[in-house]
Amino acid sequence: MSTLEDESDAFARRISDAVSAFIGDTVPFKATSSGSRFVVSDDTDGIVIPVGDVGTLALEVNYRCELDGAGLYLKVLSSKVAVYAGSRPKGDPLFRYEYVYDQGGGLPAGHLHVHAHRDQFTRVMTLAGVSGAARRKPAPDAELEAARMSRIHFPTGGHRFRPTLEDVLQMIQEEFGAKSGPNWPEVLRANRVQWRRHQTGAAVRDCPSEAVRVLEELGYVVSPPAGGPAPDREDRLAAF
Amino acid sequence: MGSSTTVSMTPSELTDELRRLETELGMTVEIAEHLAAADALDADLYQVLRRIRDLRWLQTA
Repeated sequence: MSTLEDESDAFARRISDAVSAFIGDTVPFKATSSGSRFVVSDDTDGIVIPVGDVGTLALEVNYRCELDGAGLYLKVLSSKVAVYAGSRPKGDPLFRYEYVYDQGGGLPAGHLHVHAHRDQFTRVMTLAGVSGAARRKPAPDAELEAARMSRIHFPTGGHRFRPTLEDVLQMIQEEFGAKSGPNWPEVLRANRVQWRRHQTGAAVRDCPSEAVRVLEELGYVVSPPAGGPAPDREDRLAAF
Repeated sequence: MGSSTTVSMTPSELTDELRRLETELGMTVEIAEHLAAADALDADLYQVLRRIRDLRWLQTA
């Protein structure tokens, strides 16, 4: 098996393990690769989450990833975790958490879309369009789309501090009373610790000067490398 | 507890599979997207649309 297939299979397995632990039953995931990219999605007709005795929510999970040229680093280029009322996803969820690595265009990389309706929101969005806000200008073929509340990207903490799939699953459990599988608490804790360790490392690479300052405050002695200290990555720190 | 499968596709396999899925969808992808946004797309067809989105993205690599 090639490196890409190894990585994509391991990634799909990790996501499947987390969702399966939450549901309390095996939820299969599929990785499809081509070139240096792969997509991981649930391999189901909808991940059904029982709520109470009769209700259900449905979950849709999708990750799009790329392996760098050397085959060393896996990069998540985008992700989507959408939660639907009912037992089958149909395209218009209650809400969806998304991440887009190379977002740009004044939009946040990590964000939340709320698929709801409120007159005041529509009014403010329409007024913004009339006032010239580029984001709210209606496209010629989709006049009614620009003022949809679901078009708003609510920011969720940027590249390093965005919520994970596990955070969304715990929120479903806490807020909607979904029952989780017996191993879920352990899996949640282990995955969250692993994710935050990984992201802490990435945040240190973004801002080594702050890492040095905190370590010295804690009593560590930190020596710079022979080639001089690694510069802070202002672009990453300032990214939306 | 989880399970995963992997599929590796060549560019020509991607093209063939997309053609098959677009036929299965029975309408243009643009119309399907509008229906999905309005919560008016059949759930089975939404699964087809999801797969089309993924394969189209892989095709852009």
